[in-house]
Amino acid sequence: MKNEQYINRKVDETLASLDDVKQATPTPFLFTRVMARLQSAKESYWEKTSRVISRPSFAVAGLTTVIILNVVVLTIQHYKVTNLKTQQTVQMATNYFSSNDIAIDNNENTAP
Amino acid sequence: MNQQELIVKLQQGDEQAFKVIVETWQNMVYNTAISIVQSPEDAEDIAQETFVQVYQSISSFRGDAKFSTWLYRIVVTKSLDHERKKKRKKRFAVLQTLFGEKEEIYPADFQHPGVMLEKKENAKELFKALKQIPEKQQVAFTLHKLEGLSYQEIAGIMNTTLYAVESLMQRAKNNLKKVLEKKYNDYEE
Repeated sequence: MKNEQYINRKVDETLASLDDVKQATPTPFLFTRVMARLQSAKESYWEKTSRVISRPSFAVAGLTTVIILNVVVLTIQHYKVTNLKTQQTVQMATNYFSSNDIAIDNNENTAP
Repeated sequence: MNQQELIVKLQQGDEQAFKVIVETWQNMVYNTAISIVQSPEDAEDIAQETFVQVYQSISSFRGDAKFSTWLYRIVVTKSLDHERKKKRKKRFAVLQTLFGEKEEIYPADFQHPGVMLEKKENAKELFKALKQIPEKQQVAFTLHKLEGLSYQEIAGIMNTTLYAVESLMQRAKNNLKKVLEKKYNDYEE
């Protein structure tokens, strides 16, 4: 019984031990440390970005994209040149035959 | 400069306003963190992280709640995250000890710097007991006892009702009582 009373008293005292507690304070110059952390957070953003860029998978993907773009541009260019050459040939042939027709006609008309 | 003006200036990126905010609220932030994580070094770290987050996300503060409520939410969330991480690490360390890879390290008993000398021993036991009750009950009890907040203010911070906070406090006291009774009974035997 005495023991139980003692334990109850001890529990109550323990529960009341934080009743008049004072506020804990941080070490001085917290603001300076916060600013330093903010600065390092900014740096780590760029570090993170450069790390992503320098990854082998990122480099391979970038290189592949450049090669594909080159192939596409060359193919388009080649198609354009071929098309232009065909057009020029057709044009030349058309011009040639049309001028020959005139000449034949002229020969026919000048005959006695 | 009043609080509203300070917040507007901080939203515009004014460093001087940020300094005033840190100096005004640093004790409250640190005291809340140290009461939950029970380690001065970790509390210092959490206080810094809290203010970094305040600076980075002040644009999202629209004044729906009080600034202090918003700040309490950040520091409580960070402290609880820190505790969860610590628990996970502890579990992993236990596994390592089982396989003989690492020796178990027992953390030193926590002494809150604001507790009066004659109450230090009891407070030490109370802080140990606080670690053994559910998270929400621990937060409600800590904010009420160590920060002196009303149940209404705690309800705002924990985003719950006044009735829920009353219930949390009651359960926290009952659970602490049980833990302490067991502890003192073991001492007596």
